[in-house]
Amino acid sequence: MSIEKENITVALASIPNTGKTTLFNQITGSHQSVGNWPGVSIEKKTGHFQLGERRITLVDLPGAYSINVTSIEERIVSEYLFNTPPDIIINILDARNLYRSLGLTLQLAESGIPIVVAVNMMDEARREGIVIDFDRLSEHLQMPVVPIVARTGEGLDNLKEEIKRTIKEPYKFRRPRVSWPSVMEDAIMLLARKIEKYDIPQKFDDIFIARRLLESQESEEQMFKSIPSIVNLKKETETLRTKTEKRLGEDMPTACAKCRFNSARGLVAEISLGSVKVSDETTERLDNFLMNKYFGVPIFFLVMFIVFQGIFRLGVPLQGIIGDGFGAVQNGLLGWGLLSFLPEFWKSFLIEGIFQGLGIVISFFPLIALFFVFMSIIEDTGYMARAAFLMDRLMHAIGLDGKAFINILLGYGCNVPAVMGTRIMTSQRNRIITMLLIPFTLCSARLQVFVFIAGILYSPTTAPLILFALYALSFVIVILVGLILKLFDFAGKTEPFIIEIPPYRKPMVKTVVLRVWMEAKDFLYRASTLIVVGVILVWLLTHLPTDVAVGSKDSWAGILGHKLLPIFQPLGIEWQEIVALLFGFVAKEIVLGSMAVIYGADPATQIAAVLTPLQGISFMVFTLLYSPCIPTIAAIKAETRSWKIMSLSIFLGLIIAWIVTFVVYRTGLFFGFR
Amino acid sequence: MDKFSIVPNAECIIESGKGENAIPSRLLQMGVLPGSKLRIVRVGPMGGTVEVVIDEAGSIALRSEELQLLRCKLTAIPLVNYKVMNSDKYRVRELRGGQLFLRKMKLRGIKEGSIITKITEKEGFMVAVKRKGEMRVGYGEAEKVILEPFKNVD
Repeated sequence: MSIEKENITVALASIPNTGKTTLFNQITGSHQSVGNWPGVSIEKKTGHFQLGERRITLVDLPGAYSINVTSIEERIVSEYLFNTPPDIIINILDARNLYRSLGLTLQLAESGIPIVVAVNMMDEARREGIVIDFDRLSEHLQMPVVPIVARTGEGLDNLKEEIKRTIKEPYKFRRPRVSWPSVMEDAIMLLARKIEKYDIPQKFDDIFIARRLLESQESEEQMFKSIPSIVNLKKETETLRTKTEKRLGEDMPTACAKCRFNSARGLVAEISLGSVKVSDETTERLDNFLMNKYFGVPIFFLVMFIVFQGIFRLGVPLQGIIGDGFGAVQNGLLGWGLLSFLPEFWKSFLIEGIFQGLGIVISFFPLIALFFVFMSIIEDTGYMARAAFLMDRLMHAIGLDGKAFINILLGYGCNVPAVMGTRIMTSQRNRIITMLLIPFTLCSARLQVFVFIAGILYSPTTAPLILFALYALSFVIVILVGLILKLFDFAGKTEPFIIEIPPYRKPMVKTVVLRVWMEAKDFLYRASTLIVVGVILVWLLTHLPTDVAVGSKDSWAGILGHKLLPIFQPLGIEWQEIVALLFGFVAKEIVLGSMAVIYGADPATQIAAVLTPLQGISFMVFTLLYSPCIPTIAAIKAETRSWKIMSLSIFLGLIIAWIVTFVVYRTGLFFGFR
Repeated sequence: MDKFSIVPNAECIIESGKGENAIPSRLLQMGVLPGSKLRIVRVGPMGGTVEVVIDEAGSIALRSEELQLLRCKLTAIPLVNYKVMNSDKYRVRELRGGQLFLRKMKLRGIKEGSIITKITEKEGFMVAVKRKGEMRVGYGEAEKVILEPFKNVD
C-alpha cells in the first residue's frame, strides 16, 4: 500500500548528538524555514527537498532520548508525533553507540508510522573497528536501514532512495521484538482492546497507544489532543497502571525502559562486532590536560582570549571598513545629482534613514561570520562541553550553566553575536535568561564612548580607573540581575543538568562554512527588518519637524528630551544627553557622533564645558546599562520570536539603568563629588 | 550517591532508576538501567560539577547535588577516601598510575589484588598489607590506589 498523498511529511527523529541537524542541512540545503514549536520558544526547522516528482517536507525534531517526557525536547517530540503524525520518520542512530540510539527506535517502531533508519557516523565507527550487519538489523526491525556519514554526505542518495521506496511501498508493519513481562502484556492488551473501539487515526497501532498511556506520566489530554475520546479511558488507565506497577514491583517507566534496552542490548550483540569504547585514549589524554583541576580554567581563558582576539581584532576593523564604505557611499549619494530632484527631507530619509539602517545590518556581517567560525570550531571539536563543565559551578550560583558563561563573556566583545550564540545552549530557560543578561555586558561599542568621555573629563591617571570600575560594575550587574531573575523563577524551573562529553573530533571545513553561511543568512532575514525600522524611527524622531535643526531643542527628539527631563534630572542627565541616548539606540557608538550633531560644535570642548565629572560618570553608567542597541534587540527578537521577551529586555535595561545611575549619582553627591 | 563518595575514581553500581526526580528518570531513558556501573572521572575545578563515565551512556557531566539523588552501591574508592567505604578489609582493585608508580607500589608489596587488613591515617596512610606488613602510602599516592571491599571466604 503506497502513501497516496500529494504532500508528504518526513520527520527526523533521534537522540541528541547523532548529527541530526547536519543531516537536515545536507538534505534540504538552503530550502529551510524556521519557526517555533507551539507554546515554547524552541526553534522548529522545516525544510524541503525534491524526490523525483515530489516535493517532500522535512521536519527537524529536537533531540530526544525517548517519547516519555522528561524534558521539553521530549515533550515537543511526543506531542508532535501524536497530534500531527508525519508520513515517514527518519530515525538516526549513532553507529558508535547503537545501544543508546535503539531505545528510541524501539519506541517509535511500535507506533505503526513507517520508519527509515539511518545509521550515522559510519566513518568514525569504521575507524574504531565497529562492524555492523545492516541486513540483519533491517530484518530485526522490519525497517529499511541505510548507513550514512552525514558530515560528508556519504550514503544520502541511498537514504533518499529508501524514502522513495517507502512512499511507494512501506514495509509491512510488525511490532518490534521486545520481551515484556506477561503482567504488563496482559494490561496492555486489555487497554488496547478498549482503545480499538475509539476512532483512532489510521497511523497508530492500538497497542502503541495503550503502552504510551500506561507508561507515560503525562496527562492524557495533553498527549492525545487529536484523539479527545482517549480521555474517557483516563480512570481505567490509572487503575490498571497502579495494579500493574504493584505486581511488577517497579514503576512502568523503569520496567518498560528495562525491557526495551535489554532488547536493544541483545540486538546490538547480534548485529555488530567490535566493542564500543567508552572513551578513546587521545580524548582521555587531552582531557587530563584540558580539564585539569589546576590548568583547566586558565586554558579555558586562554582559548577564549584567542577567540576574542580572532573575532574582534579581525572583525571590528572589517566592520569599520564596511561602515566607512557605506558612509562614503552615503555622502556620495547625498551629493548625487540624480537624487537632487527629491526634496531635501526625502533625500535625507532615504539616505540617512534607510540606507544607514542597511549599512548597520551589513556591518555586522563580518563579526557574526567570524563569531560562528570560532563557535562551530569550539563546538565541533567537543571543547564546548568541556568549557561548560569547567565554568559550570560559577554560573550555577545564578541558576545558569557553564555554556551561559561563554556567551556572556563574548557579550563583552559584541552583544549581537553573543545573543545569537545562545543557540549552543540546550536548556531553553537558561537561554532566555542568558539573552537578558548579555545586554548588561560592556561591549566594544560602549567602550569607545567611555574611552572618549573619560578622556575628556578625567585626568590620564583617573580615566583608566573609571573604565575599570565600569567593567566591574557591568560584571556585578550581570550577576545581580541573574540572581533577581532566578528569584522570580522567570522562564520556568531550572532543568536538571546533564551534558554529554563527546570524544574530540576534527571539525570539517564544510560543516563550519555551512553553519556560518546559515547563521549569517538567518541574521539577514530575521533581524534586518527590525534594525532598519528602528533606525528609521530614530531618524524620524531627530529629523522631524522638517523646519528645525536635526536633534535640536525643537526637534521631536529634543521635545521628548525635555519631556523626559524630570525623570532624568535626578540622575544628573540633561536633555542633550537624553537625545544622545536616543541616538544610541541605533548603535551605542553613535552616541558620540550624535553629540557632535547636538552640541553643534566640537563635542570634546562642549562636553567638558557642560558635564561635571560626576555627571559624566552618571551618563556613562546609564549608557552602559540602558536598553540594548537596536541590532541586539532585533537579535533577541529573532532568537526568541517573542515580543514579550524583547520588550522585557528593553524595560529591564531602562529600569536597572535608572536605579543604578540614581544610586551612583546620589551617592556621589552625598560624598561631595560634583 | 553519598556526598563524601563523590571523589575521582570512586565507582558504584546504580541501584534504582526510580523516576521520582528528574535525573534518575532522564538517565533511565538514556539506557542507564539499574545495575549499570558508574565511575567518577573528575570533579570540576570549583567543585559542584562532576564528570562521570557510565556503562553505555559514556562520558557525561552532571551536578553533584543531582548525582546525590541517585541511589547506588559503592564498589570502589581511592585509598584517600577509604573511610567512606566502611569495610574491615579491602582489596586493591586497580592502581591508576604510570610505570614508575606501579614499580614504587610493587616495592612496598602493593599490587592489584593485594589484600589490605588495616588502614590508619598518620603522615599519609599506614597500610597493613596481608603477608607483607605495614607500609606507608603518601596522600598523593593514595589517590591512585583504588580499593574495593573484601570479605573473607576462608
